Amino acid sequence: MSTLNHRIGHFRRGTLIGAAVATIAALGVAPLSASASTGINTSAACKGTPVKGGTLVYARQAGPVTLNPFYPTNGNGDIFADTLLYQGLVMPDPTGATQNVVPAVASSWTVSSDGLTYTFHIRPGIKFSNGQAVTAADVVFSLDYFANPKLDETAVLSGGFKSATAVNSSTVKMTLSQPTPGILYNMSIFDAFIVPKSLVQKQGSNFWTHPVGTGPFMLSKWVRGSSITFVRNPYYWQPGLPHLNKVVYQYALNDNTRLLDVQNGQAQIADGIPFSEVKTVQSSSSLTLQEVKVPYWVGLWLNFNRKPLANLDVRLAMEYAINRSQINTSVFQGLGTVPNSVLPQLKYDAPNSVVKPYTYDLKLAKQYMAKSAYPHGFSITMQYPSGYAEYTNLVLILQAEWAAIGIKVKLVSEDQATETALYMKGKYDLTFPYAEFTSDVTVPDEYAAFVTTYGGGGYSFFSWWNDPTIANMVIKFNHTASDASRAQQWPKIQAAMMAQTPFINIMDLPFLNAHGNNVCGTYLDPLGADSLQYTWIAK
Amino acid sequence: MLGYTLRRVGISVIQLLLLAFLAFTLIHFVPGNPVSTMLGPRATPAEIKLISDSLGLNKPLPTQFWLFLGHLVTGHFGRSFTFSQSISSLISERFVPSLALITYGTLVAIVIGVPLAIATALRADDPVDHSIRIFTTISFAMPTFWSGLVLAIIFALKLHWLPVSGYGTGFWGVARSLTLPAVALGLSLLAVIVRTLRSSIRHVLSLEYVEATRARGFSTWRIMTHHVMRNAVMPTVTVLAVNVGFLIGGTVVLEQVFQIPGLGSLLFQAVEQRDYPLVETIAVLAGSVVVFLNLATDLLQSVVDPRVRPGVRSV
Repeated sequence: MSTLNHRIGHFRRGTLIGAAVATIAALGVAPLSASASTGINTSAACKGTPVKGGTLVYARQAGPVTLNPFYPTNGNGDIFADTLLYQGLVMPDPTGATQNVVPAVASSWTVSSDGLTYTFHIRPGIKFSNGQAVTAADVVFSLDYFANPKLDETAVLSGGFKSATAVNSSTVKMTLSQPTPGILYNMSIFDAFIVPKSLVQKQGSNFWTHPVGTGPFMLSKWVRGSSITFVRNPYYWQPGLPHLNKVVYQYALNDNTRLLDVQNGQAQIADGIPFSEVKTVQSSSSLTLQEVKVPYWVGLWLNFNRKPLANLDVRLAMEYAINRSQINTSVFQGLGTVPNSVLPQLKYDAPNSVVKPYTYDLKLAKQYMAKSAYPHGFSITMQYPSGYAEYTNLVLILQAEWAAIGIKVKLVSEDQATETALYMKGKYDLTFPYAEFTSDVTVPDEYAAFVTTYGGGGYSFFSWWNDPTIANMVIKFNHTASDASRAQQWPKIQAAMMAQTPFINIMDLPFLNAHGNNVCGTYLDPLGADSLQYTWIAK
Repeated sequence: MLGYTLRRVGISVIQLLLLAFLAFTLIHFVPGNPVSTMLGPRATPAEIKLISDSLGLNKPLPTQFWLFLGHLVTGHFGRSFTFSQSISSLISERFVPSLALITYGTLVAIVIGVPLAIATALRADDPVDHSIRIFTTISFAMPTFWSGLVLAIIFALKLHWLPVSGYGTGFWGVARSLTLPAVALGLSLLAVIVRTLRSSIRHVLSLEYVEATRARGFSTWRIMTHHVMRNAVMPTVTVLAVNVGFLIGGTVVLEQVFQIPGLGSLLFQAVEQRDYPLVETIAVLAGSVVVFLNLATDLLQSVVDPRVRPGVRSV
């Protein structure tokens, strides 16, 4: 790990209201003593000055099919390529040490006391990878793109956005229709990356085949279906970064192939290590397992149109019948975290001492079943995604545990697209709607809104759970400008949702990467995107 | 001959139309749709409608089928939902790796299979024959993804002779990176070649003219190369042509395992994403290869052997 002592620029938490200026120091060259992930290389090879140059080959489980960040069609396959090429006005903490957003294209910003006006100051001297200066016009153009549902498939995340205007060539004012502090987090990710207005307008859809952004790398070569090569962006704004000359994402969809690639030295990093291969990596003398803390959870959806599942006593019985410790050991190699929220681990979450997780208590589970409207149990089906060994093992355990309280579960395996289609039509009893369920942002706003908004055809994220009290709590939280007030409100919502348990969070999980022992500075942001500007290969 | 040719071509056209209809219908009736798959958890009903309208998915199915046929006939094939790219450019990018893999795999099968078939035919019912037939049965039964991974572990991970995955550049880079998957593919074809060729050689060896060549004192090598193989090889060629169709399907798994950017892995991704036009086009094109190969084989056989033409009586 680097011994440089520069730290990420500070901003005072809880001062987003009022006229306080969120003065941001320039991001340091390299960190970084803290990170939320384990497995960052602290070996002797990684002490000392980072080595400049070299090529990193990264075996990735998904490759990009488009480099248009406003229209990803292959999830993280697109997004993790986009994060090397582009940035937004702000970005998630690239070290992963916090769940905050930090400056990126904007060096600082202020928020009006009513939370309706954001003024962003573009970083002095920042350029796109073609040498073109980033101007307010580019920022306004990009924000309008972000909010346009015809151009941005995730324009729903621009909720609250009213307009963006250029105050001068380096200052942009963004106005909201109502206070929506979560929008800053939504703008830190792929859906609000800053792109050059003149080039996008001139080249149209061709721009996305040879894009230009402010990220640490730029596109060099793209062999669709095989690999994508990035080279360092000579105009990147963080001094001295990136260390690497070149990064190659080598696609390897097959889990075994990806692991073989990194064991063989054909790749230096591999992502998506399956839990079943954790011991293989841990026992290797040349590899290090990296657990990356991200908002990733095994979320089981209950269809409230099914009467037994709409019964709170039944749901509580199901919760207490789950032996999460056993599941963690036998399915997730002990790397999961027993959750205390129905959503994944997010900012403002209260600790276990405040909102308690459900513990395994078969006796209590049976008591809840006995006092429910279904004391003799019932039969139900559970859909789960095919092709995932963890799910295959998990559902067998759940089936056995719920059989002990009289719930007979029939297991149905479906591919992801089928499962999503059935779930959106309400044709399920229990389902895991997404095999790899992660939040796009580190704050609860996005998913809390999704799971509590019954109207507009969302049906509370197709669960048909309808709780106006909690829904109103979420609306208030999402439109509270004060960070301190949000930090107080959220644990109450977290506790209320846990008490109702409309969804069952089986486990919070980390992303698992494996890297060679000479690969240093393998930081990731809190959403799992690699901050490869800090990565280097020791000799 | 002309009449036979025209009839045979007409049958092929009908086969192609049926193929297009089936490819279109089946994928549309599989649960799941491309828009909600694309949007994932962020799929709101309004967003789904907006994107579905822009992709033409809300048009009546007969209209969509007619548009699809039009694309096939004109060769423009439309745009992929997933890749936002023209399907013809996608297919032209991915076609060569698949062709290279299938060709290399078939060559491996022939290079290994033909000598084994000759050996089993000449040493019929002795331990060599039995051993070879057991080996080819096992190689046929092994799933290609499994044999591919085993080969990767031995030759890539342990011996470092070949890469684990990927598609190299330049002729030797491609050849090197395709060797392991080609061997896996070739092993799956071995039984087909060895058994059909063995049977065919055994039949030809029993014919009187071959007996005559032995009587004239010709060496086994000369008998086999000059007199037997020419007549024995045709049935195997026919069977191989039919099996190419299966190979196209067989490469889907191998391309996934070895990360070869071919049509197989493209089809796999297209099905996962429910990319209707891409699935339909690849399915029709792959099926067309089989249809045309069978047409070519039938026409070639009718030229070489008039007995197969309808209306021509065998002597």
